[in-house]
Amino acid sequence: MKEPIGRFIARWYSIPLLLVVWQVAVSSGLVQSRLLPGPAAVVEVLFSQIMSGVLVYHAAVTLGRALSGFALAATVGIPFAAAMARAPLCRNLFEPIFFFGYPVPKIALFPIFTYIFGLGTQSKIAFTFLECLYPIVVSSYFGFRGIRTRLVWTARNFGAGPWTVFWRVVLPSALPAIFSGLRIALPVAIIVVVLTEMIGDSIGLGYYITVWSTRFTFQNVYAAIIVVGVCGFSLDQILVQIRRRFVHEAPDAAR
Amino acid sequence: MPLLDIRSLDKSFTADNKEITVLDRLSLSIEDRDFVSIVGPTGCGKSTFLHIVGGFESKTGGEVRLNDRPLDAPGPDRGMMFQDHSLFPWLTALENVCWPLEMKGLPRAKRLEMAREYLDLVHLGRYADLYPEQLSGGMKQRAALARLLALDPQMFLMDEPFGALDSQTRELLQEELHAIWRHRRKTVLFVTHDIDEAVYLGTRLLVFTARPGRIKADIRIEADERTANFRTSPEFFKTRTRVWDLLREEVLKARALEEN
Repeated sequence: MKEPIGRFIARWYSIPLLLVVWQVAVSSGLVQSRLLPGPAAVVEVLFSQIMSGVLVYHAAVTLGRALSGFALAATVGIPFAAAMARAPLCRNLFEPIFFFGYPVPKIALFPIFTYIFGLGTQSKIAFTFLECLYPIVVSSYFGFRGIRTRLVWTARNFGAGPWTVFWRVVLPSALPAIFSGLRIALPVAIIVVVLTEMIGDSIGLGYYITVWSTRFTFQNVYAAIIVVGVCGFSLDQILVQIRRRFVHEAPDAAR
Repeated sequence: MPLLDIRSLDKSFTADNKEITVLDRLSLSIEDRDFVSIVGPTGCGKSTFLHIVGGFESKTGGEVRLNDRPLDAPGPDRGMMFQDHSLFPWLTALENVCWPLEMKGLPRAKRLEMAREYLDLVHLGRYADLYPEQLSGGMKQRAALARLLALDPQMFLMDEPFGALDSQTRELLQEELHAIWRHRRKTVLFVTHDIDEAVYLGTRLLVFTARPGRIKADIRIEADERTANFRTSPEFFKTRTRVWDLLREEVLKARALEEN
Protein backbone atom coordinates (compact mmCIF):
# COMPACT_ATOMS: atom_id res chain seq x y z
CA MET A 1 0.00 0.00 0.00
CA LYS A 2 1.58 3.25 -1.12
CA GLU A 3 0.81 6.49 0.62
CA PRO A 4 1.54 9.89 -0.80
CA ILE A 5 4.49 11.45 1.02
CA GLY A 6 2.35 14.28 2.43
CA ARG A 7 -0.01 11.90 4.13
CA PHE A 8 2.89 9.85 5.44
CA ILE A 9 4.33 12.94 7.11
CA ALA A 10 0.94 13.96 8.50
CA ARG A 11 0.59 10.54 10.06
CA TRP A 12 4.02 10.10 11.60
CA TYR A 13 5.48 13.54 12.35
CA SER A 14 4.48 13.29 16.01
CA ILE A 15 7.25 10.75 16.69
CA PRO A 16 10.29 12.88 15.68
CA LEU A 17 8.54 15.80 17.38
CA LEU A 18 8.38 13.83 20.61
CA LEU A 19 12.09 12.97 20.31
CA VAL A 20 12.94 16.65 19.87
CA VAL A 21 10.84 17.71 22.89
CA TRP A 22 12.44 14.91 24.89
CA GLN A 23 15.98 15.98 23.94
CA VAL A 24 15.22 19.64 24.71
CA ALA A 25 13.72 18.75 28.10
CA VAL A 26 16.82 16.77 29.04
CA SER A 27 19.44 19.19 27.63
CA SER A 28 17.82 22.21 29.28
CA GLY A 29 17.91 20.45 32.65
CA LEU A 30 14.11 20.57 32.92
CA VAL A 31 14.13 16.92 33.98
CA GLN A 32 16.91 15.05 35.73
CA SER A 33 18.91 13.14 33.15
CA ARG A 34 19.41 10.46 35.78
CA LEU A 35 15.67 9.65 35.75
CA LEU A 36 15.14 10.39 32.09
CA PRO A 37 18.27 10.04 29.96
CA GLY A 38 18.23 11.78 26.61
CA PRO A 39 16.97 9.97 23.50
CA ALA A 40 20.50 9.56 22.15
CA ALA A 41 21.64 7.65 25.24
CA VAL A 42 18.54 5.46 25.20
CA VAL A 43 18.81 4.71 21.49
CA GLU A 44 22.45 3.79 21.92
CA VAL A 45 21.62 1.27 24.65
CA LEU A 46 18.67 0.04 22.62
CA PHE A 47 20.91 -0.73 19.66
CA SER A 48 23.70 -2.36 21.61
CA GLN A 49 21.24 -4.51 23.58
CA ILE A 50 19.47 -5.56 20.40
CA MET A 51 22.73 -6.33 18.59
CA SER A 52 24.01 -8.36 21.53
CA GLY A 53 20.74 -10.30 21.42
CA VAL A 54 19.82 -9.63 25.03
CA LEU A 55 16.70 -7.57 24.34
CA VAL A 56 15.77 -9.82 21.43
CA TYR A 57 15.82 -12.82 23.75
CA HIS A 58 13.73 -11.20 26.48
CA ALA A 59 11.30 -9.76 23.93
CA ALA A 60 10.88 -13.18 22.33
CA VAL A 61 10.08 -14.68 25.73
CA THR A 62 7.52 -12.00 26.53
CA LEU A 63 5.91 -12.06 23.09
CA GLY A 64 5.73 -15.84 23.06
CA ARG A 65 3.92 -15.83 26.38
CA ALA A 66 1.60 -12.97 25.44
CA LEU A 67 0.65 -14.51 22.11
CA SER A 68 0.12 -17.97 23.63
CA GLY A 69 -2.22 -16.61 26.29
CA PHE A 70 -3.97 -14.41 23.75
CA ALA A 71 -4.43 -17.24 21.24
CA LEU A 72 -5.71 -19.54 23.96
CA ALA A 73 -8.20 -16.90 25.11
CA ALA A 74 -9.42 -16.38 21.54
CA THR A 75 -9.73 -20.11 20.88
CA VAL A 76 -11.74 -20.67 24.03
CA GLY A 77 -13.47 -17.30 24.25
CA ILE A 78 -15.04 -16.96 20.80
CA PRO A 79 -16.83 -20.35 20.79
CA PHE A 80 -17.79 -19.80 24.42
CA ALA A 81 -19.31 -16.40 23.57
CA ALA A 82 -21.17 -17.96 20.63
CA ALA A 83 -22.57 -20.70 22.85
CA MET A 84 -23.64 -18.22 25.54
CA ALA A 85 -25.29 -15.94 23.01
CA ARG A 86 -27.07 -18.59 20.96
CA ALA A 87 -27.97 -21.31 23.49
CA PRO A 88 -30.24 -20.20 26.38
CA LEU A 89 -29.18 -23.19 28.47
CA CYS A 90 -25.55 -22.18 28.21
CA ARG A 91 -26.38 -18.52 28.84
CA ASN A 92 -28.32 -19.26 32.04
CA LEU A 93 -25.58 -21.54 33.27
CA PHE A 94 -22.56 -19.32 32.64
CA GLU A 95 -23.63 -15.69 32.32
CA PRO A 96 -23.92 -14.90 36.07
CA ILE A 97 -20.68 -16.69 36.96
CA PHE A 98 -18.81 -15.14 34.09
CA PHE A 99 -19.87 -11.56 34.74
CA PHE A 100 -19.22 -12.01 38.45
CA GLY A 101 -15.58 -12.63 37.63
CA TYR A 102 -15.32 -9.64 35.29
CA PRO A 103 -14.40 -6.90 37.81
CA VAL A 104 -12.14 -9.16 39.88
CA PRO A 105 -8.49 -8.31 39.28
CA LYS A 106 -7.07 -11.63 38.16
CA ILE A 107 -3.72 -10.66 39.68
CA ALA A 108 -5.32 -11.38 43.09
CA LEU A 109 -4.88 -15.01 42.15
CA PHE A 110 -1.10 -14.57 41.76
CA PRO A 111 -0.08 -16.66 44.79
CA ILE A 112 -2.49 -19.44 43.89
CA PHE A 113 -1.45 -19.52 40.25
CA THR A 114 2.19 -19.52 41.26
CA TYR A 115 1.48 -22.45 43.52
CA ILE A 116 -0.24 -24.37 40.73
CA PHE A 117 1.79 -23.37 37.69
CA GLY A 118 5.09 -22.24 39.20
CA LEU A 119 6.85 -18.95 38.47
CA GLY A 120 7.65 -19.73 34.86
CA THR A 121 5.94 -19.50 31.53
CA GLN A 122 2.87 -21.54 32.48
CA SER A 123 1.58 -19.17 35.13
CA LYS A 124 2.22 -16.17 32.81
CA ILE A 125 0.16 -17.79 30.07
CA ALA A 126 -2.59 -18.67 32.55
CA PHE A 127 -2.83 -15.05 33.70
CA THR A 128 -2.79 -13.71 30.17
CA PHE A 129 -5.47 -16.18 29.19
CA LEU A 130 -7.75 -15.07 32.01
CA GLU A 131 -7.26 -11.34 31.45
CA CYS A 132 -7.73 -11.64 27.67
CA LEU A 133 -10.73 -13.92 27.99
CA TYR A 134 -12.97 -11.18 29.36
CA PRO A 135 -12.69 -8.53 26.65
CA ILE A 136 -12.87 -11.20 23.94
CA VAL A 137 -15.91 -12.95 25.39
CA VAL A 138 -17.81 -9.78 26.31
CA SER A 139 -17.35 -8.16 22.92
CA SER A 140 -18.00 -11.35 20.93
CA TYR A 141 -21.02 -12.14 23.08
CA PHE A 142 -22.72 -8.88 22.14
CA GLY A 143 -21.69 -9.46 18.54
CA PHE A 144 -23.33 -12.88 18.51
CA ARG A 145 -26.45 -11.54 20.23
CA GLY A 146 -27.03 -8.58 17.92
CA ILE A 147 -27.76 -10.58 14.81
CA ARG A 148 -30.64 -9.47 12.63
CA THR A 149 -33.30 -12.16 12.76
CA ARG A 150 -34.37 -11.38 9.21
CA LEU A 151 -30.97 -12.32 7.84
CA VAL A 152 -31.20 -15.68 9.61
CA TRP A 153 -34.73 -16.12 8.26
CA THR A 154 -33.60 -15.26 4.77
CA ALA A 155 -30.88 -17.92 4.87
CA ARG A 156 -33.30 -20.50 6.25
CA ASN A 157 -35.69 -19.51 3.49
CA PHE A 158 -33.03 -20.57 0.96
CA GLY A 159 -32.92 -23.95 2.67
CA ALA A 160 -29.85 -23.36 4.83
CA GLY A 161 -29.45 -25.65 7.85
CA PRO A 162 -28.18 -24.55 11.28
CA TRP A 163 -24.49 -24.95 10.38
CA THR A 164 -24.75 -23.02 7.15
CA VAL A 165 -26.67 -20.30 9.01
CA PHE A 166 -23.92 -20.17 11.63
CA TRP A 167 -20.98 -20.01 9.24
CA ARG A 168 -22.53 -17.77 6.65
CA VAL A 169 -24.83 -15.46 8.61
CA VAL A 170 -24.12 -15.54 12.35
CA LEU A 171 -20.33 -15.52 12.19
CA PRO A 172 -19.96 -12.79 9.52
CA SER A 173 -22.48 -10.65 11.46
CA ALA A 174 -20.50 -11.05 14.67
CA LEU A 175 -17.01 -10.63 13.18
CA PRO A 176 -16.68 -6.84 13.63
CA ALA A 177 -17.48 -7.18 17.35
CA ILE A 178 -15.15 -10.19 17.68
CA PHE A 179 -12.29 -8.19 16.19
CA SER A 180 -13.02 -5.27 18.52
CA GLY A 181 -12.63 -7.67 21.43
CA LEU A 182 -9.38 -9.06 20.03
CA ARG A 183 -7.99 -5.57 19.55
CA ILE A 184 -8.72 -4.69 23.18
CA ALA A 185 -7.29 -7.98 24.43
CA LEU A 186 -4.00 -7.90 22.52
CA PRO A 187 -2.33 -5.03 24.42
CA VAL A 188 -3.82 -6.44 27.64
CA ALA A 189 -1.89 -9.64 26.94
CA ILE A 190 1.39 -7.75 26.69
CA ILE A 191 0.67 -5.67 29.79
CA VAL A 192 -0.19 -8.73 31.87
CA VAL A 193 2.92 -10.64 30.82
CA VAL A 194 5.26 -7.72 31.48
CA LEU A 195 3.59 -7.04 34.81
CA THR A 196 3.77 -10.63 36.05
CA GLU A 197 7.35 -10.88 34.85
CA MET A 198 8.12 -7.79 36.93
CA ILE A 199 6.65 -9.45 40.02
CA GLY A 200 8.57 -12.65 39.70
CA ASP A 201 10.65 -14.17 36.95
CA SER A 202 14.19 -14.43 35.65
CA ILE A 203 13.46 -13.90 31.96
CA GLY A 204 11.26 -11.62 29.86
CA LEU A 205 11.05 -7.88 29.33
CA GLY A 206 9.33 -7.37 32.70
CA TYR A 207 12.23 -9.03 34.46
CA TYR A 208 14.69 -6.94 32.42
CA ILE A 209 12.90 -3.71 33.41
CA THR A 210 12.94 -4.64 37.11
CA VAL A 211 16.60 -5.60 37.13
CA TRP A 212 17.81 -2.39 35.49
CA SER A 213 15.46 -0.26 37.63
CA THR A 214 17.01 -1.61 40.81
CA ARG A 215 20.42 -0.69 39.37
CA PHE A 216 19.14 2.84 38.57
CA THR A 217 20.29 2.32 34.96
CA PHE A 218 17.27 3.89 33.39
CA GLN A 219 18.46 4.01 29.78
CA ASN A 220 18.06 0.20 29.74
CA VAL A 221 14.60 0.51 31.29
CA TYR A 222 13.52 2.97 28.58
CA ALA A 223 15.05 0.79 25.88
CA ALA A 224 12.91 -2.13 27.10
CA ILE A 225 9.83 0.09 27.29
CA ILE A 226 10.38 1.13 23.69
CA VAL A 227 10.62 -2.53 22.69
CA VAL A 228 7.33 -3.26 24.49
CA GLY A 229 5.67 -0.35 22.69
CA VAL A 230 6.99 -1.30 19.27
CA CYS A 231 5.93 -4.92 19.74
CA GLY A 232 2.43 -3.94 20.83
CA PHE A 233 2.03 -1.47 18.01
CA SER A 234 3.22 -3.96 15.38
CA LEU A 235 0.94 -6.72 16.64
CA ASP A 236 -2.02 -4.34 16.57
CA GLN A 237 -1.21 -3.39 12.98
CA ILE A 238 -1.04 -7.05 12.02
CA LEU A 239 -4.43 -7.59 13.64
CA VAL A 240 -5.84 -4.63 11.69
CA GLN A 241 -4.59 -6.19 8.45
CA ILE A 242 -6.15 -9.54 9.34
CA ARG A 243 -9.40 -7.77 10.18
CA ARG A 244 -9.37 -6.04 6.81
CA ARG A 245 -9.01 -9.42 5.16
CA PHE A 246 -12.01 -10.99 6.91
CA VAL A 247 -14.40 -8.21 7.82
CA HIS A 248 -16.37 -6.54 5.10
CA GLU A 249 -16.23 -2.78 5.24
CA ALA A 250 -17.99 -0.50 2.85
CA PRO A 251 -15.40 1.02 0.53
CA ASP A 252 -16.54 4.53 1.44
CA ALA A 253 -17.22 3.84 5.12
CA ALA A 254 -15.26 5.95 7.60
CA ARG A 255 -12.36 4.08 9.13
CA MET B 1 -57.55 -27.97 -4.74
CA PRO B 2 -56.20 -24.66 -3.48
CA LEU B 3 -52.47 -24.04 -3.37
CA LEU B 4 -52.56 -22.73 0.19
CA ASP B 5 -55.24 -23.88 2.59
CA ILE B 6 -55.56 -22.32 6.03
CA ARG B 7 -58.05 -23.61 8.60
CA SER B 8 -58.88 -21.73 11.81
CA LEU B 9 -55.36 -20.47 12.32
CA ASP B 10 -54.71 -19.06 15.79
CA LYS B 11 -51.73 -17.12 16.98
CA SER B 12 -51.30 -15.64 20.42
CA PHE B 13 -48.40 -14.75 22.63
CA THR B 14 -47.85 -13.50 26.13
CA ALA B 15 -46.43 -10.07 26.82
CA ASP B 16 -46.32 -8.38 30.23
CA ASN B 17 -48.37 -11.27 31.68
CA LYS B 18 -51.16 -10.53 29.23
CA GLU B 19 -52.32 -12.98 26.62
CA ILE B 20 -52.54 -11.23 23.28
CA THR B 21 -54.44 -12.88 20.46
CA VAL B 22 -52.96 -11.80 17.16
CA LEU B 23 -54.84 -14.06 14.78
CA ASP B 24 -58.21 -15.54 15.64
CA ARG B 25 -59.56 -18.59 13.80
CA LEU B 26 -58.45 -17.37 10.44
CA SER B 27 -59.54 -19.50 7.50
CA LEU B 28 -58.54 -18.87 3.94
CA SER B 29 -57.86 -20.65 0.65
CA ILE B 30 -55.55 -19.26 -1.96
CA GLU B 31 -55.50 -20.47 -5.53
CA ASP B 32 -52.42 -20.88 -7.62
CA ARG B 33 -51.43 -17.73 -9.54
CA ASP B 34 -53.50 -15.40 -7.40
CA PHE B 35 -52.07 -12.06 -6.41
CA VAL B 36 -53.47 -11.52 -2.94
CA SER B 37 -53.10 -8.06 -1.47
CA ILE B 38 -53.56 -7.84 2.28
CA VAL B 39 -54.41 -4.56 3.97
CA GLY B 40 -55.26 -3.94 7.59
CA PRO B 41 -54.59 -1.53 10.43
CA THR B 42 -51.22 -1.52 12.16
CA GLY B 43 -50.81 -4.45 14.54
CA CYS B 44 -53.60 -6.53 13.00
CA GLY B 45 -51.33 -9.54 12.58
CA LYS B 46 -50.91 -9.40 8.80
CA SER B 47 -47.11 -9.59 9.05
CA THR B 48 -47.37 -12.39 11.60
CA PHE B 49 -49.69 -14.18 9.19
CA LEU B 50 -47.06 -13.93 6.47
CA HIS B 51 -44.30 -15.11 8.84
CA ILE B 52 -46.39 -18.18 9.75
CA VAL B 53 -46.97 -19.04 6.10
CA GLY B 54 -43.23 -18.57 5.59
CA GLY B 55 -42.56 -21.04 8.40
CA PHE B 56 -40.55 -18.51 10.43
CA GLU B 57 -43.01 -18.15 13.29
CA SER B 58 -44.96 -20.93 14.96
CA LYS B 59 -48.74 -21.02 15.08
CA THR B 60 -50.74 -21.52 18.27
CA GLY B 61 -53.47 -23.58 16.66
CA GLY B 62 -55.14 -24.51 13.40
CA GLU B 63 -53.77 -25.86 10.17
CA VAL B 64 -51.74 -24.50 7.30
CA ARG B 65 -51.35 -26.69 4.22
CA LEU B 66 -49.38 -25.94 1.11
CA ASN B 67 -49.95 -28.24 -1.88
CA ASP B 68 -51.93 -30.37 0.57
CA ARG B 69 -48.95 -30.90 2.86
CA PRO B 70 -48.80 -29.46 6.39
CA LEU B 71 -46.36 -26.60 6.63
CA ASP B 72 -44.22 -25.79 9.64
CA ALA B 73 -40.72 -24.84 8.51
CA PRO B 74 -39.22 -22.38 6.04
CA GLY B 75 -38.50 -23.74 2.60
CA PRO B 76 -37.51 -22.61 -0.88
CA ASP B 77 -41.05 -23.21 -2.16
CA ARG B 78 -42.01 -19.91 -0.49
CA GLY B 79 -39.84 -16.84 -0.84
CA MET B 80 -39.99 -14.03 1.68
CA MET B 81 -39.22 -10.39 0.96
CA PHE B 82 -39.12 -7.86 3.77
CA GLN B 83 -39.55 -4.10 3.91
CA ASP B 84 -35.92 -3.76 4.94
CA HIS B 85 -34.33 -5.54 1.97
CA SER B 86 -32.47 -8.08 4.21
CA LEU B 87 -29.58 -8.33 1.80
CA PHE B 88 -26.41 -9.70 3.38
CA PRO B 89 -24.29 -6.58 3.90
CA TRP B 90 -20.97 -8.43 3.47
CA LEU B 91 -21.95 -9.75 0.05
CA THR B 92 -22.22 -7.78 -3.19
CA ALA B 93 -25.54 -7.58 -5.01
CA LEU B 94 -24.34 -10.34 -7.33
CA GLU B 95 -23.19 -12.58 -4.46
CA ASN B 96 -26.51 -12.03 -2.72
CA VAL B 97 -28.39 -13.21 -5.80
CA CYS B 98 -25.99 -16.15 -6.20
CA TRP B 99 -26.64 -17.62 -2.79
CA PRO B 100 -30.06 -19.23 -3.41
CA LEU B 101 -28.69 -20.61 -6.69
CA GLU B 102 -25.78 -22.12 -4.78
CA MET B 103 -28.20 -23.73 -2.32
CA LYS B 104 -29.88 -25.36 -5.31
CA GLY B 105 -26.56 -26.96 -6.18
CA LEU B 106 -25.88 -25.12 -9.42
CA PRO B 107 -22.24 -24.98 -10.57
CA ARG B 108 -20.43 -21.69 -10.06
CA ALA B 109 -20.32 -20.53 -13.67
CA LYS B 110 -24.02 -21.21 -14.13
CA ARG B 111 -24.84 -19.38 -10.89
CA LEU B 112 -23.00 -16.27 -11.95
CA GLU B 113 -24.59 -16.28 -15.37
CA MET B 114 -28.10 -16.66 -13.97
CA ALA B 115 -27.55 -14.11 -11.20
CA ARG B 116 -26.46 -11.56 -13.80
CA GLU B 117 -29.61 -12.27 -15.81
CA TYR B 118 -31.81 -11.67 -12.77
CA LEU B 119 -30.01 -8.45 -11.96
CA ASP B 120 -30.43 -7.31 -15.56
CA LEU B 121 -34.11 -8.10 -15.31
CA VAL B 122 -34.50 -5.63 -12.42
CA HIS B 123 -32.20 -3.09 -14.15
CA LEU B 124 -29.33 -3.57 -11.72
CA GLY B 125 -26.84 -5.20 -14.09
CA ARG B 126 -24.45 -2.27 -13.84
CA TYR B 127 -24.43 -2.36 -10.06
CA ALA B 128 -23.79 -6.08 -9.63
CA ASP B 129 -20.52 -5.62 -7.78
CA LEU B 130 -21.68 -3.00 -5.31
CA TYR B 131 -22.42 -3.75 -1.68
CA PRO B 132 -25.93 -3.14 -0.30
CA GLU B 133 -24.95 0.02 1.58
CA GLN B 134 -23.74 1.53 -1.69
CA LEU B 135 -27.18 1.08 -3.26
CA SER B 136 -30.17 3.42 -2.93
CA GLY B 137 -33.36 2.23 -1.22
CA GLY B 138 -35.03 1.36 -4.50
CA MET B 139 -31.95 -0.45 -5.79
CA LYS B 140 -31.73 -2.52 -2.61
CA GLN B 141 -35.33 -3.66 -3.03
CA ARG B 142 -34.60 -4.45 -6.68
CA ALA B 143 -31.63 -6.57 -5.62
CA ALA B 144 -33.82 -8.33 -3.05
CA LEU B 145 -36.40 -8.92 -5.79
CA ALA B 146 -33.70 -10.38 -8.07
CA ARG B 147 -32.65 -12.68 -5.23
CA LEU B 148 -36.27 -13.76 -4.78
CA LEU B 149 -36.46 -14.53 -8.50
CA ALA B 150 -33.26 -16.55 -8.20
CA LEU B 151 -34.80 -18.59 -5.40
CA ASP B 152 -37.73 -19.07 -7.79
CA PRO B 153 -40.34 -20.10 -5.20
CA GLN B 154 -43.86 -21.07 -6.11
CA MET B 155 -45.15 -18.42 -3.76
CA PHE B 156 -43.88 -14.90 -3.05
CA LEU B 157 -44.47 -13.65 0.48
CA MET B 158 -43.98 -9.89 0.45
CA ASP B 159 -44.17 -7.81 3.62
CA GLU B 160 -44.49 -4.17 2.56
CA PRO B 161 -41.58 -4.55 0.17
CA PHE B 162 -41.96 -1.03 -1.23
CA GLY B 163 -43.06 0.62 2.02
CA ALA B 164 -39.90 2.61 2.58
CA LEU B 165 -39.53 3.93 -0.96
CA ASP B 166 -40.46 7.27 -2.49
CA SER B 167 -43.65 7.29 -4.53
CA GLN B 168 -42.04 7.40 -7.99
CA THR B 169 -39.67 4.50 -7.32
CA ARG B 170 -42.57 2.72 -5.77
CA GLU B 171 -44.85 2.98 -8.80
CA LEU B 172 -42.10 1.80 -11.11
CA LEU B 173 -41.39 -1.20 -8.92
CA GLN B 174 -45.09 -2.00 -8.72
CA GLU B 175 -45.22 -2.12 -12.51
CA GLU B 176 -42.13 -4.32 -12.63
CA LEU B 177 -43.52 -6.67 -10.02
CA HIS B 178 -46.80 -6.87 -11.89
CA ALA B 179 -44.97 -7.78 -15.11
CA ILE B 180 -42.91 -10.43 -13.29
CA TRP B 181 -46.03 -11.92 -11.71
CA ARG B 182 -47.78 -12.05 -15.09
CA HIS B 183 -44.91 -13.62 -16.97
CA ARG B 184 -43.67 -16.02 -14.37
CA ARG B 185 -47.06 -17.06 -13.13
CA LYS B 186 -46.40 -16.88 -9.43
CA THR B 187 -48.71 -16.77 -6.45
CA VAL B 188 -48.18 -13.69 -4.34
CA LEU B 189 -49.19 -12.75 -0.80
CA PHE B 190 -48.56 -9.04 -0.60
CA VAL B 191 -48.96 -7.12 2.67
CA THR B 192 -49.17 -3.36 2.34
CA HIS B 193 -50.39 -0.19 4.02
CA ASP B 194 -51.00 1.48 0.71
CA ILE B 195 -54.53 0.93 -0.62
CA ASP B 196 -53.65 2.12 -4.13
CA GLU B 197 -50.83 -0.38 -4.28
CA ALA B 198 -53.10 -3.15 -2.99
CA VAL B 199 -55.78 -2.42 -5.59
CA TYR B 200 -53.35 -1.89 -8.47
CA LEU B 201 -51.51 -5.18 -7.91
CA GLY B 202 -54.09 -7.55 -6.45
CA THR B 203 -56.44 -9.92 -8.18
CA ARG B 204 -57.83 -10.50 -4.76
CA LEU B 205 -57.80 -8.14 -1.82
CA LEU B 206 -58.18 -9.11 1.83
CA VAL B 207 -59.05 -6.55 4.47
CA PHE B 208 -57.97 -7.62 7.95
CA THR B 209 -59.80 -6.46 11.07
CA ALA B 210 -58.07 -4.76 14.00
CA ARG B 211 -56.49 -7.17 16.46
CA PRO B 212 -57.32 -10.03 16.80
CA GLY B 213 -56.91 -10.34 13.05
CA ARG B 214 -59.76 -11.84 11.07
CA ILE B 215 -60.76 -11.37 7.48
CA LYS B 216 -63.27 -8.56 7.23
CA ALA B 217 -63.67 -8.53 3.46
CA ASP B 218 -62.47 -10.62 0.56
CA ILE B 219 -62.70 -8.70 -2.70
CA ARG B 220 -62.01 -9.90 -6.24
CA ILE B 221 -60.54 -7.34 -8.58
CA GLU B 222 -61.25 -8.20 -12.17
CA ALA B 223 -58.93 -6.35 -14.45
CA ASP B 224 -56.65 -8.34 -16.59
CA GLU B 225 -53.74 -6.20 -17.43
CA ARG B 226 -52.70 -3.44 -15.08
CA THR B 227 -51.56 -0.66 -17.32
CA ALA B 228 -51.07 2.90 -16.12
CA ASN B 229 -54.65 3.49 -17.29
CA PHE B 230 -55.95 1.12 -14.67
CA ARG B 231 -54.87 3.57 -11.99
CA THR B 232 -57.28 6.17 -13.35
CA SER B 233 -60.18 3.87 -14.24
CA PRO B 234 -63.59 4.12 -12.50
CA GLU B 235 -63.18 0.50 -11.43
CA PHE B 236 -59.98 1.39 -9.60
CA PHE B 237 -61.59 4.29 -7.75
CA LYS B 238 -64.69 2.30 -6.89
CA THR B 239 -62.63 -0.48 -5.31
CA ARG B 240 -60.30 1.95 -3.64
CA THR B 241 -63.20 3.82 -1.99
CA ARG B 242 -64.83 0.60 -0.89
CA VAL B 243 -61.62 -0.70 0.66
CA TRP B 244 -60.97 2.54 2.46
CA ASP B 245 -64.51 2.56 3.92
CA LEU B 246 -63.94 -0.93 5.25
CA LEU B 247 -60.49 -0.20 6.50
CA ARG B 248 -61.29 3.13 8.12
CA GLU B 249 -63.53 1.49 10.69
CA GLU B 250 -60.77 -0.96 11.60
CA VAL B 251 -58.09 1.70 11.78
CA LEU B 252 -60.25 3.61 14.27
CA LYS B 253 -60.73 0.42 16.30
CA ALA B 254 -57.01 -0.23 16.25
CA ARG B 255 -56.38 3.28 17.46
CA ALA B 256 -58.83 2.84 20.33
CA LEU B 257 -57.04 -0.42 21.17
CA GLU B 258 -53.72 1.37 21.28
CA GLU B 259 -55.03 4.15 23.50
CA ASN B 260 -56.40 1.74 26.11
